[in-house]
Amino acid sequence: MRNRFTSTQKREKTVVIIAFLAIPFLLLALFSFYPAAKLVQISFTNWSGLGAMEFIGLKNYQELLRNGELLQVLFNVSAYIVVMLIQVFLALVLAIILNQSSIKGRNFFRSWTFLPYMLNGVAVAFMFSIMYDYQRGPLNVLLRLIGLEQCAIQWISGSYMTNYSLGLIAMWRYTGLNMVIFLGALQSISNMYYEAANLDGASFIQKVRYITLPSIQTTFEILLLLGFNGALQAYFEPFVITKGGPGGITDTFITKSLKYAFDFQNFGLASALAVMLVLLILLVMGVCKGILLRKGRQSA
Amino acid sequence: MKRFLLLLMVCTLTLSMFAVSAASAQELSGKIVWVTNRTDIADTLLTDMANDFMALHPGTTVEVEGIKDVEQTMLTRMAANEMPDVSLMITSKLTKSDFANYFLPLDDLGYTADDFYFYDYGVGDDGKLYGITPDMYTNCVFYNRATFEIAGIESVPRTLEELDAVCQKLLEAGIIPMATSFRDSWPLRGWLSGYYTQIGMSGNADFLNELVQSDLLFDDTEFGNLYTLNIARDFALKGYFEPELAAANWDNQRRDVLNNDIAMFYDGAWYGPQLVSTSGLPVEDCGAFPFPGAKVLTVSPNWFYGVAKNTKYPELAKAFLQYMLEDGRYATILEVECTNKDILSDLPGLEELYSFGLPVMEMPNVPAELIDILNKGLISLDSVTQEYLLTSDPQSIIDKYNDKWQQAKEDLGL
Repeated sequence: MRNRFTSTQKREKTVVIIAFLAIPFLLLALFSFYPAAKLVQISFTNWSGLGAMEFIGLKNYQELLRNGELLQVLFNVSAYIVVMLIQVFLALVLAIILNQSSIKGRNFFRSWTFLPYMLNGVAVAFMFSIMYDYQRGPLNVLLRLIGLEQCAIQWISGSYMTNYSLGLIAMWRYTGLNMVIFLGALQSISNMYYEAANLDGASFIQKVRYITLPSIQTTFEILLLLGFNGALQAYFEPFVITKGGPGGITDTFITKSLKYAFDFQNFGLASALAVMLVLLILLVMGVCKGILLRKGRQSA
Repeated sequence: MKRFLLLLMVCTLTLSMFAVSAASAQELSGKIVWVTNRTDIADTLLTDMANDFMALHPGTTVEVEGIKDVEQTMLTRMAANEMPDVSLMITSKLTKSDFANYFLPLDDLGYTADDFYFYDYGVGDDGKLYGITPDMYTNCVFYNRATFEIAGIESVPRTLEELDAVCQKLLEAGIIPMATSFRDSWPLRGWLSGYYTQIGMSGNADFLNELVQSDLLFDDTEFGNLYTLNIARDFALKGYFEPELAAANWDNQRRDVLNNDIAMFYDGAWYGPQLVSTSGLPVEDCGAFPFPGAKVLTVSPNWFYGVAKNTKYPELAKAFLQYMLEDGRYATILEVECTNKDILSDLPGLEELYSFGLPVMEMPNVPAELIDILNKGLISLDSVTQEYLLTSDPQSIIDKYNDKWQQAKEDLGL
């Protein structure tokens, strides 16, 4: 009797689990797995966006490796990665400072630092396209007003440095988010370590170096991983402000992929580039995960 | 008696005509979606136009939808078979054999090549008409007369040397001679990708077919691609374009023209009237002249319209398309030149433009082979223009794209 009830309960439990998971899984399959599988399929064809698809094997991937534009895109995206590293570091510094109970108005500063993340990406990009105007942008106007006209900056210069200007927009948006995540990690560090350090006469820098940083190492690595992911997928800023130009000098994976698809009617090539982006992200995640696992085993 | 019978017959015929048209009007019903690229007036002037149509045909609904990225959006919708009933037709991306797959024939509307400019653009491989463009623009240089007055320029230039002199005078007066909106890339089309300088200067209607046959994209053909590109580069090096070229954009251009900070813009005769109607440029300041040295005035079509093959209400969609084209109604609302051959548009600047007495030539349709070569070679001519204007090594750009052109032709077997 008891076994029958237990197996019935188990069956009921299984049915409930499946029922609850079915719809989310279906949505995931429909909006994630299926498009991803379709993307990979299209990358092996010469589909123009209309009409039939013809299988062409690895020709799209060969074209990407041959035409040099993939290297150009990687080079452009590296600017976003450099800015991302500065962003994570800056977020950490801000989090450490705003975690101090002696800072007056720290809640206000936390809120204002986080606010840019709440704004819509396209709206931010439009705003910066005005801010970056050489003649009328606020910073350059201010520099001219105080007699420093020669210091006025050509934010959108048509050279490679424009990628850094675009990367700075992402830094402005995401530093607050990173800071909030760091703050959460900092607040999970037990106070007794700091009290013990105070008793030993440790300075602020020593406390940060020997207590804070080792304690938030995992959070730091996760944010770096997310930052790499975000930098590789940079889109709003180059699309809205420069359209990836001039001459592809500010193209990222996504803007270049859009160009292949809609300007050159080559959805196959566009899909191949998107698949290469996915592979690159998986590679970065794999490397980061490998480092984390190895460190986890070492500390165990 | 005979007169009475004749009068009776005439009255009967007349009444039956009314009855038929009334019956036809009553037969129209349903709901259609009409898509437009003019998002700025979709909710106002174009909705008013749709409402007027609905008032004439009770029981019908016409929903106006504005879309911004026309090519991207329309191509995606076509691929997904979700086209609006009265759709924009991307003739630059579709081949004539594609027309029948996505659009309904319009031959029952009774139009011929004598009725509209660019009629042949919308005719498919099977000889049927699938799309018409309601509006077009004459390619020209728009100029703000006020800036010419400030610089003391008394007449518009008729040769490239005179244009150079005019630009110099404008520069000396502190006015930017020519706008490019470089960052947005499409406003650069007059200098290369639009082909109207090449065809306008040479008068050669076969230019595009000859280009397809050419081994090089850029060569020393008189009035060829390299010729027009070099004019642009020469202007850029002399400072006749915006000073911070890479940052110049469309939004700033409008403001600068209105503030008399920029004098000219080379594209089409649509620009001046648009500034007059939407931005308050005084009508008397709106001027236009042919590109100096041009032998013909080229006219380019704007967006084409067709009726989607999957529409549930084909009669209603066709009736609305007819309504758009009737008497140049849609073009009049947009304040652009209409393609109706029996209507002469009266827009600011046009009278001056046509006073030069140049013959008018319809821009030839871009051959499918040319589109294939450019797509295969991943060559965006606007992007090439941007690179060429900024580079310190122009020959490297020419060589790069000539190589791409040759490789693409080889891959396509052309």
